Amino acid sequence: MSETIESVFNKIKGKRAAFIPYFVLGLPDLKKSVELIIECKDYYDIVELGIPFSDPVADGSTIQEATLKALENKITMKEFFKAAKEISDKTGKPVVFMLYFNQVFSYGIKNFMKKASACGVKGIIVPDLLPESDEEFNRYAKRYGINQIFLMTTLSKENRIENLINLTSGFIYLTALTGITGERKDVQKGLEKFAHKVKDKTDKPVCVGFGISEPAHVKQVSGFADGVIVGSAIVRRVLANQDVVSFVKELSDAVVDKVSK
Amino acid sequence: MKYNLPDKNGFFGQFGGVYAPELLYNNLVQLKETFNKAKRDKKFRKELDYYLTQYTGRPSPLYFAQRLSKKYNLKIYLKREDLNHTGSHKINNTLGQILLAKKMGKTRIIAETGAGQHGVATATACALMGLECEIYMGAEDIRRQELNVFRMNLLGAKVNKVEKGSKTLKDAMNEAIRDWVSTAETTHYLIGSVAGFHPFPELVRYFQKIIGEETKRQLKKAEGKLPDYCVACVGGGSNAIGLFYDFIKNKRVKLIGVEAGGAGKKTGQHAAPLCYGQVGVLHGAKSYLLYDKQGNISDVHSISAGLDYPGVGPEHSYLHEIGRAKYVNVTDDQVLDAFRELSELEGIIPALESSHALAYIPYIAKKEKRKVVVVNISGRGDKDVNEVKRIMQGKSK
Repeated sequence: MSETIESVFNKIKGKRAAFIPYFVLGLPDLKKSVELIIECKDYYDIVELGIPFSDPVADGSTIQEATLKALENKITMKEFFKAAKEISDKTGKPVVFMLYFNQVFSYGIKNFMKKASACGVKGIIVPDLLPESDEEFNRYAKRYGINQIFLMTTLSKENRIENLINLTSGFIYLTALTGITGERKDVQKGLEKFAHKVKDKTDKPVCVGFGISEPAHVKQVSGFADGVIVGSAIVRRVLANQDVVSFVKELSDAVVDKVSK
Repeated sequence: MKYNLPDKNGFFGQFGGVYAPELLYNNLVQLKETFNKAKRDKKFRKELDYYLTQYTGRPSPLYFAQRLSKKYNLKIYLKREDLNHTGSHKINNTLGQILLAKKMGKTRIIAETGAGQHGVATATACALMGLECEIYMGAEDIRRQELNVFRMNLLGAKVNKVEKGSKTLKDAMNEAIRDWVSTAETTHYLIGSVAGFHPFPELVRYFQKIIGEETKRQLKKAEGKLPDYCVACVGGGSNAIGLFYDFIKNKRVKLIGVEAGGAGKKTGQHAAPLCYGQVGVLHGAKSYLLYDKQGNISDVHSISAGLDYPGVGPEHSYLHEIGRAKYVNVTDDQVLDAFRELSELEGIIPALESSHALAYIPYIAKKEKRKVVVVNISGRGDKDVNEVKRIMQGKSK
């Protein structure tokens, strides 16, 4: 049984930020992706698994290309669940699914949450869903103990920030840029200030993702956030058949120790 | 019948809603507030009316199609949206939304387009108001609607070619959404159909309902009664909602939406979610949709770029579910026959989209005599003549 998202953050609280890599499950194929994710297990605290979808509107070109390739493998949701269970069992780390709403809806929301829970999935991110979009989604996620991780952006206004804090469980996913996923040269200005503003309002962990592309970014963001998420930069290396394990280790090593105040 | 939808959350029964990325939250709230205020604002109404009459040429005629009526032993009236400035009903909505965009202080407009009619209508409205305009269009649609691409360029718009997926309307909409989440502060996404995130289905309906309102008045003058049938093609469904909406409460009026049957159900090559799809969520709303067992959206096909879309506006799903409107489909071949028939019998070349509605007339003629049938000619066919020529030459070989 893998640990919960909450216990991960409790353990590292005050010491360092969590490192959360994103992989496209099924790329280059299902078996290889599972092996890769398990091989990287010492370098992350939580792992985010992208389940390929035909129309990923929140994703940039790298993840679009990756999901399109993965879709060619014609993997069923049942097989994805099985893979998630294997990853959860063998790594002991919390697994978070990132996928689009029609994938959950078409499976049946209740059945999806039940199955996900049984396979060790601890959190779910649906980038085309607002916290108020679907009451059934919220109800069954809660019933089956799956954290609902909603995105927050630096454009979110005061009352929206408070709403999102209340409706999110597991951690707050703050997008480092106002746009779609993908690598960027620099971390957006004003992000640190915004993260502090959110942290002043809540004890829930604030993790930052979108556009975090290299160890220097991880170093910078881990200085003020409770967690750092890297996606496209890893996926690009999987696509190019490069040494992903070393890169993940490099990113993980870049997480700075918190200076005790 | 009482009909007061959508509800405050944007739902028509179980359909609709706001399935949106968080980055669009501010924009959707702002749009809803601006729209609700504008609806009650006399000055806004007056300004829009001015452009609709002086710029677009409304009201569009309701023309009694004499020879077509004789052939089918029906009384067929054509609602001539093809005579609007820019050649389709799309301008009704783009003029309305462009005024909202200005109120919101947006400086840049983006839109998706399939047949290019909405792209042209958007580019036109932007030229009129001096706003920057970018249109997303699938590569396949750019090929088959070449003339409209040139028109958009002439109007000063940038046309972004979308090479992803099936290279048609769905993929153009994906790209437009990606653009919007990246430019939310400066940009208004001018959605062309009664689809997408709430409040779009409601606000596009608001700007298109003039089609049915005029039809009702015009037919009362011509026939002294309500129509027996209202027929319109359905892709996303804006021209159909435009025609249907004012007649929903008149239960005796039969509402028929005609979807794209493509090469026929057996081939899987169609774009008829209400006939052959299931409930799902894409592009912001819950509605009927064509997708596979894993929830991935299906590739669809239609001879007409404007109907080549796997989903449909949520209000149509609702009207379908409660049985208030009937949804059928016709094949590409039937559409081509109807396209030629109207050209030959009435001297009107209809858009391939609108030809779907015309292709349903023989079915009505089979069971009815002398009934009054209104068909929405949502657009003109000039844009399609090259593609039809190509297909006809291919067939005669």
